Amino acid sequence: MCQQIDIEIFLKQSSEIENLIFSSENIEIKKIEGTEVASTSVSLNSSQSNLENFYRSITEEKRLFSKISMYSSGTTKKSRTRVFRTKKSILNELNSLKEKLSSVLSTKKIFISVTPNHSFGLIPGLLLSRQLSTSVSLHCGLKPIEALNQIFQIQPNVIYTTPSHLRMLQQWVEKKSIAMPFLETVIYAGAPLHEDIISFYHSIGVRLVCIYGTTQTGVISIQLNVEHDSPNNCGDILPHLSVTLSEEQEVIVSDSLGLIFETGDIAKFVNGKLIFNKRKDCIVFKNGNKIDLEMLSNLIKELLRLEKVEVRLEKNISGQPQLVCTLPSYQKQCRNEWFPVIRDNLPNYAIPDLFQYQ
Amino acid sequence: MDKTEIKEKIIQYFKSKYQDKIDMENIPEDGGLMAFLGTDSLQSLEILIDMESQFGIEITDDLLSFQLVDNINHMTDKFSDLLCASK
Repeated sequence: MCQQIDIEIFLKQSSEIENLIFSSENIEIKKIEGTEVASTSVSLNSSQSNLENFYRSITEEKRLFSKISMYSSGTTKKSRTRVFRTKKSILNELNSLKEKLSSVLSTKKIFISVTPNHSFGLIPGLLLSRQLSTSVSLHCGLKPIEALNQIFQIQPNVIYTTPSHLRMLQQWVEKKSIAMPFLETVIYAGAPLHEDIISFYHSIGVRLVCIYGTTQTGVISIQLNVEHDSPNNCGDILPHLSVTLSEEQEVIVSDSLGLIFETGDIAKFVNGKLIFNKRKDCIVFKNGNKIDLEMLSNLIKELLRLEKVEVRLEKNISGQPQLVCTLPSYQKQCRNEWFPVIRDNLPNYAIPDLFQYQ
Repeated sequence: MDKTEIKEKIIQYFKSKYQDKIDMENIPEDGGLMAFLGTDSLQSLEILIDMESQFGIEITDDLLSFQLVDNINHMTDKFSDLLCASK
């Protein structure tokens, strides 16, 4: 038996996500095509005493070994990889996170802002927020500009979000010279932040907490105070996981259930902290989004039926990362034919910012 | 500045910024602009910031909405309101 749900539609109707996640059924979380994502935030307030009783009661094996599946973001608008986790691994992650983040989240007004592709990583954060605070709001949508509006309306003490949303907030606040006295902490996951973003948030007195993980493993480590001179410091490994480095320094994660996962991230340990170095493959980060340059080049080559395409990441004159795609010179004349093909097949963050011809 | 001029100025802005990427003849005016241009949310915010200086207006947090970056007609109405209010 597998229950299929669209988590955003569920949350619009009920905030009691614990009953859903820890039911004894297998669950497949799947976005229903064509449904409008939330443009306003959903309130997920909880009664904490009820939640304490709830977590005390979920010890039966049937519940905890049932599975939850979700789709990690794909290279094209349509591709998705289905990923499975047991509910026990979610509960373990939740307990480890609670140990680390209790003081950050307790009694705070929390705002969670994510895109639907990040839903899997979101669940433990969302469950934990409800456990530790009675004021939790979620904005989950493809229109992050509306999340900005919500941040200024809700005025949260803690924002749980992605690096690309953080960059947006920084740009808006800096440009408009707005104060955010309400904001104490930002928790982000996805990619190391650029030094300028870290410096900006520190300059307005905001503490940055970095969560490092993958869709397959959940959170692997936490850095409770990100410093601008060590943006790649991913912090301490969560107690329920065991992390080793392979001969080529790749991060290998094994969970309490004995599952082993190769992350593709090259890192090292310094004084017990995990320091991210680079990717093993051609994946780069652009505003927090992971982009595999080789895969992207091949995809454009395939979509446009070309022999040679090169995509690389460069900095523009403002120092911001931009994707530059080189195409054969004859493509310049017929851009109206091929650009819509690229645009309609790639996620917007993977569409090259600049095209060059040679 | 009347609404026709405002709209023309908005369209001109997009033409000069994106014409190297896509033929701007069919630029949608009633929604679907972000998908048409292939812009992400960060770029759309930059567009709004550019628009503020182009029109000498101030877009406040409460005005931030998807329509404001995705729909030229909506942009025209809002910018027109802001220009009137600033007189």
